[in-house]
Amino acid sequence: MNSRYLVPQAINFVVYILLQVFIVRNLVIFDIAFCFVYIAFLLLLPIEAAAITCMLLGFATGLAVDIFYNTFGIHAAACVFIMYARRYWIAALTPRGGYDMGITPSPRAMGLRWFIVYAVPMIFVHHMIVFFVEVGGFGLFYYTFIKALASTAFTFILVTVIQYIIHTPRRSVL
Amino acid sequence: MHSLLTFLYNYRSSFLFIILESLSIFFVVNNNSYHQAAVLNSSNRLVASAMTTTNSVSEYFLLKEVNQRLAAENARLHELMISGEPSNSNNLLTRDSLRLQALEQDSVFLFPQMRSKSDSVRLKQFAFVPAKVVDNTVYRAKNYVTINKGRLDGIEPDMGVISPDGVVGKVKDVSDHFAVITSVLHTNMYVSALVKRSHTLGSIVWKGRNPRLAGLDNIPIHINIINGDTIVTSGYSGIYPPNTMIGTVAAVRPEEDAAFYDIDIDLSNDFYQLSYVYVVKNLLRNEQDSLENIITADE
Repeated sequence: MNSRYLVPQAINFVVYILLQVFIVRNLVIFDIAFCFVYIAFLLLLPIEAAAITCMLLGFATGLAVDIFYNTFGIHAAACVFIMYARRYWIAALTPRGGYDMGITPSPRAMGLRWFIVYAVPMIFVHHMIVFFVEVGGFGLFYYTFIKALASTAFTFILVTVIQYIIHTPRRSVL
Repeated sequence: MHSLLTFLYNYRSSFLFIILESLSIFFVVNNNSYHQAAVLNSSNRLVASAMTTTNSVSEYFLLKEVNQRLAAENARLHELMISGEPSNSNNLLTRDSLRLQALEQDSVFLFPQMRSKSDSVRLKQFAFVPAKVVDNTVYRAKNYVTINKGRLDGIEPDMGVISPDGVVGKVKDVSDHFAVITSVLHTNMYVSALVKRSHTLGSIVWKGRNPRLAGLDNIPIHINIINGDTIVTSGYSGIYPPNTMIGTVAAVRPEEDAAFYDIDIDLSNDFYQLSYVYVVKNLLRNEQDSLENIITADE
């Protein structure tokens, strides 16, 4: 990732963290669906961003959220994991003809279908790690699994809706 | 040497992955078991002030409820002051009523000169610091409450926290102006409890699902326990005052071939609407602890 991305990504980071800890943190649907919208920042990093950069950013983002959630280390672990898995996942989903340079993996740039396939498993894995590490085992397996599933749907919908609400020109740096 | 460096370089992202994950797991384990320097959680000043700001908005919507609660508590304390005797076992001033009665019977009638000292110390054993809840969660497996009193107000880790309705939790970490409390709604949090009617000792632990229900463990099946039985703190640990309300029995399930009941407790505290709490300072805690330490050291 070169310096061209630095400022917009820094703004993204701050906005998503603020959104998460001040607003979305208090949103819970039916006592089981939580929203971790901040991972949109990580999901939407440019495709050619290096794995090491992604993991370091994931770690920093996770810790920032952890401080507000009093779950020191849990979100960091989950974010680092999905950021490590990300490049393999992106490689596996390469469309015919490859990715364009400087593209972000957003629904506007790549199409909604591609985005669903890309984002839903990443969000799900992240949420599974967060909830199971928080419970500290598989004691409440069924309940925790449902929680992760419901939260995945909630997070994914909010992430996608935000992408469509914020009107950025196609293939911008954002 | 060169090939080693090449190897490290080729797998640099995997190494970084392993390092960051280990670091995160180290944090998780540490956070669950030990007190930290209180920088990296919501007792952090910056974080807590930010929460205070957002909380002050949502506070308006709860004002009516909070007022009613405080008025009800005031009324109860007034009644207590006028009548001079416990009308309700769950209040802040007459926790030790049984003990005081015993003291009174023994000392006042037999040794009137002994009364004053022991009595006044007992009455002052617990001091309460009122605090406002700045942040609170109920839906997670491990819930914490953040309050707006900290080290400068005399709050220390391991102090108990109660509300007018019952037990809230135990102080985990403190900063100068804020404190994080491990809520009763935390799957690793145990509260030593008594079944009030039979004085059976058990322990309360939350099961991680319903914020209104907790489990009561270690009640042997030969004890008679019924729905509606009152569960209070034992006070043995010196964290909470004895006889503080925890809840009432909601369901009893005798497990087959088991030595203990499986009991659900209806928590008396409404954790959804926690707004003001009291931090309990046990002024005799050091005395109790050092005495108990001598015994454990002897064994």
